[in-house]
Amino acid sequence: MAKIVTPFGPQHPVLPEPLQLNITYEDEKVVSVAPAIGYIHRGLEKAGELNDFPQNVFLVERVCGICSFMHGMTYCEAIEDIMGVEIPPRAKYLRVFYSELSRIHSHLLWLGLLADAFGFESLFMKYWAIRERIVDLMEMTGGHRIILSASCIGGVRRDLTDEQISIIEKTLLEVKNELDHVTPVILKDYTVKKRTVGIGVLSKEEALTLGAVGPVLRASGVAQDLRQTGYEAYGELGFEPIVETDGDSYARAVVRAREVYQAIELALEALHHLPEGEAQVKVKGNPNGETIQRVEQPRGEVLWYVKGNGTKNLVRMRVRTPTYAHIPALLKMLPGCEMADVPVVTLSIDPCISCTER
Amino acid sequence: MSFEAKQITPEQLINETQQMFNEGYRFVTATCVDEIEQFRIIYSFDRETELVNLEVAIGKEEQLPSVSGVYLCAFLVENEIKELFGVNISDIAVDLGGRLYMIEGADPHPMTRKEKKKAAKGVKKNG
Amino acid sequence: MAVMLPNIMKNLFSRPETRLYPAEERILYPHTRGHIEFDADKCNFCTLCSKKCPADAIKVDRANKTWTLDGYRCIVCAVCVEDCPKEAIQMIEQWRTPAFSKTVEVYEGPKPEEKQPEA
Ligand code: SF4
Ligand code: SF4
Repeated sequence: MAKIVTPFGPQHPVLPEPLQLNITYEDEKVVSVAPAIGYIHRGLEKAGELNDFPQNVFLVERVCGICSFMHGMTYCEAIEDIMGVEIPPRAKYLRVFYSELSRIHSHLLWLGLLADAFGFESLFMKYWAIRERIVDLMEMTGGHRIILSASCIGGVRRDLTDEQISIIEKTLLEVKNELDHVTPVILKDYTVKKRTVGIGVLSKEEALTLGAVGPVLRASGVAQDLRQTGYEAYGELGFEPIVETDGDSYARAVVRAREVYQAIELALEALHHLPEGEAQVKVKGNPNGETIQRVEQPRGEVLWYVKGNGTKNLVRMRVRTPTYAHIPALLKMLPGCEMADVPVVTLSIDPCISCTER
Repeated sequence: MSFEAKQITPEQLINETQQMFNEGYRFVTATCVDEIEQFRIIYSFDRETELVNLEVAIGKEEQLPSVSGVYLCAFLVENEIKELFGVNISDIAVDLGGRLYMIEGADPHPMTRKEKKKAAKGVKKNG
Repeated sequence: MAVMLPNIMKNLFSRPETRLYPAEERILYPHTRGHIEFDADKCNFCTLCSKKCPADAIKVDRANKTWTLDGYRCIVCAVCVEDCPKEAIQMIEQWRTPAFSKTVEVYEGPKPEEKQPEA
């Protein structure tokens, strides 16, 4: 049988961002895959060395549009760690709240995109309609629909008022209610199962050796979630990672669909236990030292390395984003599946190429 | 504060990494820091959310073996380090030949730091 | 399909999720970061805002007392609003409208010589 090579991307309807996969097919089966990235490398790590370190908060929020808040937060945590700053308890809970809000928004976005990838457009619109309400909450609290800019070195810039808290609680419960009607479609619908069950399987061993993280790792049966380490206020909130064992696209969808509920619970819990007091401490001086910070983003583990030398410019700033870790796993998932399944499998890792290339 | 890293030499790298692999650690990433006289490369591994680091310091011209023979997934980050810093990494499992991010004819190794304070000029600066 | 059916039925008989835009406008939240507005009378040209701005959108000339905003560089982060000691910059909820070309807003403060006769 003759082999043909077809490019998938860099522009493709299911890909919001440019990623190119040169796929070799035999008949309609994928034989091998060669990735090509680098379409949107922005030199962000270098830019981080040129700016002042407080200005970088706004730069790093633009590493990725979806995990924006969490990149900013992790960077702030890293700087706080170097400088030995202890942030107030209220800020810790607020950071959990904003993180979980981002997670809900990211997972709903992804579930919609997944539905779109196999052509289930009404489900896609349904999910995005629900997501719109979360985005509205973000605008109400952070002042912007996506880029919250809520985190700053020393705490949180945007405190919540009691009135806002009651609106948020009400909206989150409504969102949960609406999700109860839509989630069964992802979990039980015949069409959805037909397109995802058994597609793009990644076994537990493969997931570990290929360095998969986050929902992909958990869908392959590894109960690992960095929130278990109890950064910020997660240690006090109590939390169990969500695990599925099949390792296919369906399992990854289920993990995310269930994590939305968990994130709603955690966000409500954080608001419920919100301590009184200041949300921000003033930070003086410049960072001198180096550190590694890890945080669980919607897509998985992100690692920040920051090194300062006592001046206001950093020596080195590095970020390893979740999608970066997923590309080797994707190359393993694709061979053996059908041509028509390539978009679904590619999407199932929740690719975020801007993050990957920075 | 900060983080722990086990200092090793470039010759020990493959053996130490293999040991990590055998103990079931997951490869997280490698971070290259340009210290002007030399490069420091920090390899991070994770097992059940516990982070372990190995640190290698090499001279600018020295050769570093690739760990992608042990952890295949290291090929991306090693290509990146080779391309952006110009660290001489040999035998990467999938060598993209300096074309991961950069295009033909671009300045080689943009992430390297020159002498102190050079970095202050460039993209942005106001008075 | 059976699982989706209740959703479809609901969609058929419910109001649309979208707004009829020109007729019905979205209500902006009080803390939305829309755009910044500058009050030249309050400013003392200390240049703090231009130093803190992460996007390099503000240029302050202390000698000539001019304050320049490149509104299309501004990322509306509100750092200048928080840090200005004179509260000369304000955050307004309305978003900046689209434009055909990028423009720079230049504000001039009262010149020292001109100020004396007034006072
Ligand atoms: S706007 Fe405020 S911070 Fe900027 S120069 Fe004027 S007084 Fe200073
Ligand atoms: S809002 Fe932010 S980006 Fe805009 S001028 Fe002020 S400091 Fe600069």
